[in-house]
Amino acid sequence: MIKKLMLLLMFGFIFLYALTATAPLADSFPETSIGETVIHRGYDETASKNLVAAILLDYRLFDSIFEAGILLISAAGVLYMSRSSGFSKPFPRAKEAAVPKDSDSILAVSRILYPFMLLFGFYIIVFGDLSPGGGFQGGVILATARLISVYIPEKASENTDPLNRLEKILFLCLLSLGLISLFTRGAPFTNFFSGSVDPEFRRLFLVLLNLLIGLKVSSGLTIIFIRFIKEGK
Amino acid sequence: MYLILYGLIIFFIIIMLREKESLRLIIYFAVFSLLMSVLYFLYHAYDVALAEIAIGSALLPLFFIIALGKQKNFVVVSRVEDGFFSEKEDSPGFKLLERFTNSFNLTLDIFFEHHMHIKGAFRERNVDLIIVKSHRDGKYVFIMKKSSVLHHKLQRLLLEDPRIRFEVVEEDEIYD
Repeated sequence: MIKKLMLLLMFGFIFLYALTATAPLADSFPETSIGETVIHRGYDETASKNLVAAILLDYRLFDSIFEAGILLISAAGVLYMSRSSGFSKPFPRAKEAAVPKDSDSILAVSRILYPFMLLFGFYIIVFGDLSPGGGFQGGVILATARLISVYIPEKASENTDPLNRLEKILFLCLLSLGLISLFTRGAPFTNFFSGSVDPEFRRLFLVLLNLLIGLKVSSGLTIIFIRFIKEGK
Repeated sequence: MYLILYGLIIFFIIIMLREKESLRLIIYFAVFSLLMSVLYFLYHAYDVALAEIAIGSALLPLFFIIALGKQKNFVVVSRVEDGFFSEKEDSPGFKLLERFTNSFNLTLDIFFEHHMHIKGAFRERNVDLIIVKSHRDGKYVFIMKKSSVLHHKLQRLLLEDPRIRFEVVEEDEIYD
C-alpha cells in the first residue's frame, strides 16, 4: 500500500514538474532555425568539431544524461529479473549436460580480434568530438568486444556485481561532471570552462564526458549480455 | 547508386518477411542494418551510421542468436498412442526421447494430436518432431524439420532402433 502510494506520489510529482517546466519552453522557442545557429556558432560555443557531439554533450547534455540513466535502469531490470528466476529451477535436469565445445577457429579469431575491437572502441570514444562517433557508439563496440571475449575461456568472468557497481559510480560521475559548471559558470549541464578559454582546453570536458558515457554504456550492455547468457544455466 | 541501395533494402525487407527459419532471418536482419547504415553514410549522417552498424548489425543479431540458442522446449506432436509411444514413462519411445532431451538440457513437450480439438493451433506452434505410424511397413516415422539443428543428433541416437524410421523434410512440408 505504502509502495503504491509512494509510486503514485512520484508519478504525480514528475507529471506536475513536467507540466510546469515545459509550459514556458513553448513560448521561448526561437523563431530562427536552430540548425543554422548550431552550424555557425557550434564550434565557438562548445569547442566540438563534431556538431552532433556538440548538441549531445553540450546543448542537450541534460537529455543525454537521462538517456544514460535509461540504460542504467534497464540493466538493473535485467539483473533483477534474471536473478529472481535463478533461484527456482522448474525441472530437475540430468546431471551430465552435454555442453557443445566451441570450435578452435572461433577461439583463435576471437583472441586476435579482441584487442583490436577494444582499441577501436576507445578510439571512437576519445575522438568523439573530432570525428563521427562518441560515447554511445564506442561503448556499444566495447560491449561487443566483451561479448567476443566470452568465447575466450581464460577471460570469461561471469560475475556482474563489480560491473553493476561501476556503472552506478560512472552515472554519478556523469551527473557531477555535468553539475561542475553550475559552480564555475553558473549554469548546469554545460562545459565547465568559460567560453574565453582556448578550445583545446575546453575539449577536455567533452573527452571526459565521452569516456564516462562510453564506459557506462559498455558496462551496462555487458551486464545485460552476461545475464542473458547465464540465464537459465 | 541510391536506387540500387533502396532496391536492396526493400529486397532484404521482403526476404526477412518471407523467411521462416530464425537463424537465417537474423543474418538477413544484420545485412539489412548494414545497408541502412550505408544509406545513412551516403546522406552524411555519420554518427547515426556508426550507431546503426554497431547496434543493428552486431549487437542485436548477437542478442537474437543467444535467445535462439536458449529455446529450451522440444515440442513433439504424436499421432500414435500405443504400447510403443504413450504418456506413460515406461514406454520405449518416450524413454528414447527423454534420454535425448535430457542430454541437451531440453524440456520435453508432448502433444497427442487426437486429443487436441484445435488443429490450427499447431500451425502457430514451433513443432520440432512429429511421430506417425507408417501403414506400409508398420514402422514409426519420426519427422523432423530440415532447419532444426538437432535432427542430426536425434538421427544418430535412433539409428540402431529397428522400429523407427527417420525422415527429414523441408519447412513447408511438415503440416502435410
